[in-house]
Amino acid sequence: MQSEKLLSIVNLDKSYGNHHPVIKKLSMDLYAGELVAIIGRSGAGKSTLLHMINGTISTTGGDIIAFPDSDTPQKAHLLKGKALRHWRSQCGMIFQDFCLVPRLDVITNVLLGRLSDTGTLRSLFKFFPKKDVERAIELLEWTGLINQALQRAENLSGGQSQRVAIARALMQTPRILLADEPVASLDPKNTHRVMEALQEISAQNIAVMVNLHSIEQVKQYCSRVVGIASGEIIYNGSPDGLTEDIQQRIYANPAS
Amino acid sequence: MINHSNTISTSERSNNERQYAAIYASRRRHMVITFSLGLIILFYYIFFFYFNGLTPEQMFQGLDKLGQYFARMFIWRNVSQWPFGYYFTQIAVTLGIVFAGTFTATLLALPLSFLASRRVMNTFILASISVVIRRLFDIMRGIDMAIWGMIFIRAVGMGPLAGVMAIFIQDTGLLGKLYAESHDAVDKRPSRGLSALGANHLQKHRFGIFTQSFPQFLALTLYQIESNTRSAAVLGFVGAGGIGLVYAENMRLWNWDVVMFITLVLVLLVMIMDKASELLRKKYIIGEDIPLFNQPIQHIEK
Repeated sequence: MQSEKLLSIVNLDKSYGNHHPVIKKLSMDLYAGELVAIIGRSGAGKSTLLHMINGTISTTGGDIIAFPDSDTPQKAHLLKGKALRHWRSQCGMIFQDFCLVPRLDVITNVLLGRLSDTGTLRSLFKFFPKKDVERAIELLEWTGLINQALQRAENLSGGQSQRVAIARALMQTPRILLADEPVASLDPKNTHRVMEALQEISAQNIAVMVNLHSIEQVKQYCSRVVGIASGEIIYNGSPDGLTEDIQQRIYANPAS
Repeated sequence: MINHSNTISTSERSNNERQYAAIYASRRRHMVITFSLGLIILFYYIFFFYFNGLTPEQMFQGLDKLGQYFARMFIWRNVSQWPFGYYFTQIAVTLGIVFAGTFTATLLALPLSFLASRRVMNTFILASISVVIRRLFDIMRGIDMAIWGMIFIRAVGMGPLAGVMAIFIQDTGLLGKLYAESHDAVDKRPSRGLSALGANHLQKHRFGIFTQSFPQFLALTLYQIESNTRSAAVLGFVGAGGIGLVYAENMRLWNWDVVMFITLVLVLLVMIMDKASELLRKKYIIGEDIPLFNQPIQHIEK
């Protein structure tokens, strides 16, 4: 028996205005405990895909079904208001440029991950329950940033910032973690630390979906890889099956 | 999540424990400060009302009287005999005072604001100059426009000149301080880039600082013109020219209908100015997109 299916994408379409479609009839599933890489050239629709799952970009067709194996599957792309915020809290997101709040200290940045589960009035005064603070400390220790806990986020390096962003996403206790080019602006050492962290997270039965640019990283860290070209899936399977020929097709120039 | 405690050394562990203590202390401090501030604000109100012997009855009676005046404002009598020419001339004089005062203040405050900016004045001697300039701003700003007006009336006599000078002095202090703060708040990276390519100090301040603080500069100036139009009425009360004199006369004569009329005209003027400044802001602050990326993508990739 395979592990739980957390997300099912069926015939997803996206186009902006009357321009070319960005995503065409894309279908794929996401299972608990996987580390799935999404690869493709710039503009292939990788980021758009992640943002549509999280609901920050609207879809133009098809379905994104959250927790299809559970008793209450939901159409994630139709959610609004409170239900949408709840879905987003279950589906963490990290970005290439971190998106931390620069003037807040690191531990508060991590605690912000609990916003959707904290009462509004409390949260506006930055009062978080003790168990959340304990959890944040635990996560900071795990990411090796405990000594920076009371520093402002703006004083961190790129690699440190990304680790804080990961801690913040884990603070949400997500079932799914979406990472939009998390290592694109990092050096090799920090890349290794971040990718290793993502691997450990997927081992906690969380589905991790990550946009990557390097085939090497895909082969080294990921359990599955999805290659997208011009909004369509070219390859979906084990990284070992990613032959030269398939890579050629994924990264081919669409105009030629 | 993942437990490293069996792999880390004793010194590392004690360091971590110190860190936990610091984090919890910081969160406790945050709580204590927030609640204390809340309490202080509450006690302040209680103290203020008690110390000044203010009672709720006083407030209710006052509201009642205010209601009577307010009712009179809506009954307009003998409108055909009102000296409209006089009213509108005085409004024009007020606008003239505001523009002359604020514009002159802007011209002087801008160069002075660079001399007051901590970012620009970064050596010991320069920093001491900036302290002097900032204290000068404090003095100019610390005295209210109406008081400046009364002082200048003694010096140059009743009339608009005293009003212009009052606005000029007060606004140089206010705008100079606010401009300097906006210079200090801009991103440091452009300046670093400019010094790396060999720009001199003035060039660096011009493009690394002023280009970035310009939206703030424009917004502050436009707001100050609008705000002065409102407060210039007070200048007339003390005799420094403009519509305030009409206000004072008619309040004394219980002509609340005229007071209402002039107020409406002023509100309308402020609204027009707000619209005008919004247009300026749109043009200079937000900027327009250059349609670089509207070309078909294939074209670029080939």
